[in-house]
Amino acid sequence: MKIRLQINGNTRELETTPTRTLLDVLRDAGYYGVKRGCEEGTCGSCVVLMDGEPHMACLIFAPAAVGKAITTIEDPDGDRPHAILRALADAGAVQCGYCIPGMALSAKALLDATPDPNEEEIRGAMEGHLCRCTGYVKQVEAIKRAAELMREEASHE
Amino acid sequence: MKTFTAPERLDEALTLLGEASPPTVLAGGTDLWPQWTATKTKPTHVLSLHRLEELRGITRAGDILRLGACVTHSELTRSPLVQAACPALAAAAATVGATQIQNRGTLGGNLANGSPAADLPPPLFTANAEVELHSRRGARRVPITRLYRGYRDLERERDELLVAVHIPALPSGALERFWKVGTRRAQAISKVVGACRLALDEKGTISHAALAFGSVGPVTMALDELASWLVGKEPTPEVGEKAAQLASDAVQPMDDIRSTADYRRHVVGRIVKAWIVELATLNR
Amino acid sequence: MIGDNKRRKDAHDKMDGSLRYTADVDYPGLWHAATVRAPLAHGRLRGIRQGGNIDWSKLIFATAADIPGTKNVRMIAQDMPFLADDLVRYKGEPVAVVAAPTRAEAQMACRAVEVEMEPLEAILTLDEIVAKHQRGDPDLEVLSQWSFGHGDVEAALESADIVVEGAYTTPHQEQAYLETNAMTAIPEDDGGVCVEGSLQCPYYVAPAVAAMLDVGLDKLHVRALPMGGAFGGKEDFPSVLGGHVALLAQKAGRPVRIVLDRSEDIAYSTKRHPAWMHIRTGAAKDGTLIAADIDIVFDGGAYATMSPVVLSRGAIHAPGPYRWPVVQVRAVAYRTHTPPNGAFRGFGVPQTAYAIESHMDRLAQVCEVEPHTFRLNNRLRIGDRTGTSQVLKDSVASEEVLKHTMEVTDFARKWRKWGIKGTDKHDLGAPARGVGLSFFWHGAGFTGAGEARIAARVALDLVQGGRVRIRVSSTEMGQGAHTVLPQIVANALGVPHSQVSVDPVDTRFVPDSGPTVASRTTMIVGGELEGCALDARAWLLQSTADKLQRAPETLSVVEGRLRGGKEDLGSFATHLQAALGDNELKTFERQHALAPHLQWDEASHTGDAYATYTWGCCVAEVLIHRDTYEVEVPRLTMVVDVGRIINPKLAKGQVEGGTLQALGYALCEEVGVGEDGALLRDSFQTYILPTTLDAPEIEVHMLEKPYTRGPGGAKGLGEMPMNGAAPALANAVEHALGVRVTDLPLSPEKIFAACSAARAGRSS
Repeated sequence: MKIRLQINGNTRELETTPTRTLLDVLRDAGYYGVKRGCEEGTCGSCVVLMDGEPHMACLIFAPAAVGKAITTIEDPDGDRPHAILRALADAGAVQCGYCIPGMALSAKALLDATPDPNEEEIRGAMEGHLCRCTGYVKQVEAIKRAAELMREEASHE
Repeated sequence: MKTFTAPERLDEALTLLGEASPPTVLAGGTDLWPQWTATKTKPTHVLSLHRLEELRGITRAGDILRLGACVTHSELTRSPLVQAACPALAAAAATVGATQIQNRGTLGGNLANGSPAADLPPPLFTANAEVELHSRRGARRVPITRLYRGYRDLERERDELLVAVHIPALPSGALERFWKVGTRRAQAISKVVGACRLALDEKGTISHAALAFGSVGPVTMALDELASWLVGKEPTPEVGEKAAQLASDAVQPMDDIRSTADYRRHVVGRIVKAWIVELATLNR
Repeated sequence: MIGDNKRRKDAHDKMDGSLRYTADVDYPGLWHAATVRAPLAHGRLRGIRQGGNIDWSKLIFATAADIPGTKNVRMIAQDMPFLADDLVRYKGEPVAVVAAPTRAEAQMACRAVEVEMEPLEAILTLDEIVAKHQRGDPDLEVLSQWSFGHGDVEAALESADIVVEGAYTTPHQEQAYLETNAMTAIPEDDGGVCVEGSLQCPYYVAPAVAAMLDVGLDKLHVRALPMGGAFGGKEDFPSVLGGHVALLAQKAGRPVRIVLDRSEDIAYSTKRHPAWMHIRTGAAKDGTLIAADIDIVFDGGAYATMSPVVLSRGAIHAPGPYRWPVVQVRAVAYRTHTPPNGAFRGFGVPQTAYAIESHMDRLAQVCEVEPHTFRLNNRLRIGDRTGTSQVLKDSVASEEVLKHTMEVTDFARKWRKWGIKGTDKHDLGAPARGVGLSFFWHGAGFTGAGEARIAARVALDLVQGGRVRIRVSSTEMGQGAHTVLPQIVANALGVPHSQVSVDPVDTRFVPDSGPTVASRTTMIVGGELEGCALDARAWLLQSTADKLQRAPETLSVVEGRLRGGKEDLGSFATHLQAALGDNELKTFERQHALAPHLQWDEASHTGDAYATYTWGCCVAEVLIHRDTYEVEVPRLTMVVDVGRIINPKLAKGQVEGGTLQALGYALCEEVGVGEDGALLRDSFQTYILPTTLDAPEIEVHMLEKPYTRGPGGAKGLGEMPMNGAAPALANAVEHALGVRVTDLPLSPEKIFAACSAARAGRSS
């Protein structure tokens, strides 16, 4: 079957079978920033935004994503969480990098809703992302820093 | 041939469910996908509920809160109506999986999946909620305390769809609490999960008690005998200790990969004691 | 340059999703592989039947009979078959592999294969082998054993005022890298095969797969792609998967890839060895150590594979960083019918460090000496002799690490105030509070003569245009090697970090700098690269000096410019062009040789086990819920000496990450073995890793005691952060509640059981 998905602001017509996941279909279409980690909604490597909210793409039948605005880390324009990525790199929060695309998207959803989060809110928003390389210390720092950067940018506009 | 159907009207969904080989009903999928991954199977025919408006929404009429079956855990957590009418349910929803799961998983899915470790049934048990089941044959309501007949065996015919949950709101002055001991602080399945609704009369004796626990038996268990025993007593530390003993004795936990029966019995008792102690502080 | 927080070279690509991991690389005509696995833990294969409603002519199917060359995987021990042939030694052991156009089809075909086995009795758990070990049961199969020490331990214990004895056990630990094991084999036009994937050690995979295919290394090359974590879990296991896909790709004449799903990866790939450690120690009344007698049993799993070296490292570190006048260590790894255990960060030491550091707290308690004082008094010093009779000569930071820890954590005060015996009033409504200390060390680089055997080779190319390219087989698994090695080279050469890069790791183009393991990459590989860079710099300066008719010692390279004193003589690239003439590049090579003063006898495990050691202390603070026994960890503090730090931000990240892995090991990670030999917790829902909400505040302090032979003074770093947190947490739990759980993980269930037993003991 063919489905039409709104991915990063573009409409893409993609081939799938009824019971493939959004994770499968996005990867087939070349969105490799969506990572396969556990396929049971525990690790967060496959997180994408749907209408701005973080969701595990491994738990969604692709046809159920029709009509939703899907954001992946590949989003080439304004929606890409630049400040978050820069802050993650500068903080040294990236090690193997496998968890980073999903984390950056959950962080974006958090900062869109809560521009000045405290540590508890940051850790809460990241609770669905497992990282085995770091102690989460630098990710939390980075998201705090990203919030500052984004607020600074907003105040300049 | 595999199919994925997402009707917009309830009667269409009920028609599909009435067929000879009904499809697998899918709400958020957060419980089903891990099961499919673990067993390396996938359903052939899927009936997705995500476009059914009738299964959404949180409304209150008088003392009754109505929750559509497809209300998500995030919506439960954030809803002022739920926070007021059934705070333990809002608290329970906030402990399901992680934020990313709560955005997807639903109330109805959590109930219909039938896991004895599910987080939402205990507060619905203690609130004496009812579930609304629809089929082509009509609609009926079942008290949640009668929904689970045995391990993953529901009082739901296979052509019936769980459409809504009705919850009597927490009376003013009463205490409602939720407690989950999980395998970790997020993304955790419960080792013990419990809720209570307790109230005192003006003399300071317990006038209403309802307690329920999950993960301690084949189904969510309402501790009705304990509740009856508590009514009329003062919430003293001694009563709390006796209640803890009765609760530990009443549950039927097992050893499994998450925990041990001994630990679960102990924790159920301590939770009950802690609630009674907290109730006593309301009196002052 | 050394000591700078250079940003990771791969950070950008990793963040925007453009970096390709193994499963992200497209190949036209790629097929996917899946594995047919043995249904029983132990038995003889009686038949493999391709059944089901499957058109097998359209798929590729291979069993051991299809292997043209060596049937066993080349590793430290070469006893594990690529595909079981006759004897099956663990449930889920590969017996056949299938390739199909899609992964789903390959998996479906595998399910249609019927494997018939004649069952044999299986030994499945550490408990079983320890029971047999204790009664000397001859049924046990020894996979590896070592014993060493000095002095008459029985006589010494006899003479001791205080003798304390205890046994400690640790479970399997899964590496749990987020990217599961993945390998691709691609047939090439010249009849050769390229194997690429998520792998730490390309020069382990290449000879193993070449021998299996019975081809020369000219027909088989291995590419290491970016890894989504490894931690030792992609040290030996990729050789197995590489063999499977190479066999299928050759039969199919097309690229074939295998990507394990999470449950397969947890259930069937290597894990940390479960271990039992029995320790008897003697001390004088004042707490001075007299003797230690240590008996170690490791569960090796079904095949020896890496067990000899893991066991060796674990045993060497078992006496801890303490001066024992007399010490004897006996260590043995036995076979069980479970998946082979292998490499995992720490490599045997997290087990023995947990045991000795738990034990030292108990011994200190009996001696009535505070735990920090006890450790400070008995710590190893320069000139002291270790268990292998190595005399420590330099870079011993035991005192600095312990004293700095006391300062930054205020341990002594907390230890006196908190805890079940502490001076603070106990509020029974509040959680029980405790603090625990551990002190540990870690040998950097391969054990004993290992580095001499590897004889790491590295190459550095100076290329027209001014680029400097590093060629090594050391891989980037997230630890930052491909950022840190260029820092070392840039520093020695005098050029900006941005000018130095690491070439893609492909055995066709890079020399064998050894496996990316054993905390050796910065120290050994970095050290040789530093040598190459100094050679290159000398060559360039000599060549420039000749042209300018100056003395070379008057010239220098600073930030990519040549200088004569304060005079700027032009860019590095310009002078390099002049020096290279018509040549495109000039290559500098070096090979590592063991320092001549290091002596090691493998058989008796006597001598200089490691060129140098790193030192560390961990302080754990815990709050234990009095009703549920859940352990909350508000803070873990790590104070480590790893020599000179090349990149502080990356180094701290390593320590933080290792510390959280150790917290998981201590508190919640457990696989468990079922009655049929299946591993019980084989998903991320059941195998419990710490989340952001479980992770404590992790405070890291790095002391820098330079090691003269390391690049810029650096020692190894990667593994040692894994050693400290488990014993520190065990000691903190004991401090808080007065009960000691001697088997990891310290689950609420076990703490509850220990407290119940203690209460029952007191009331009876």
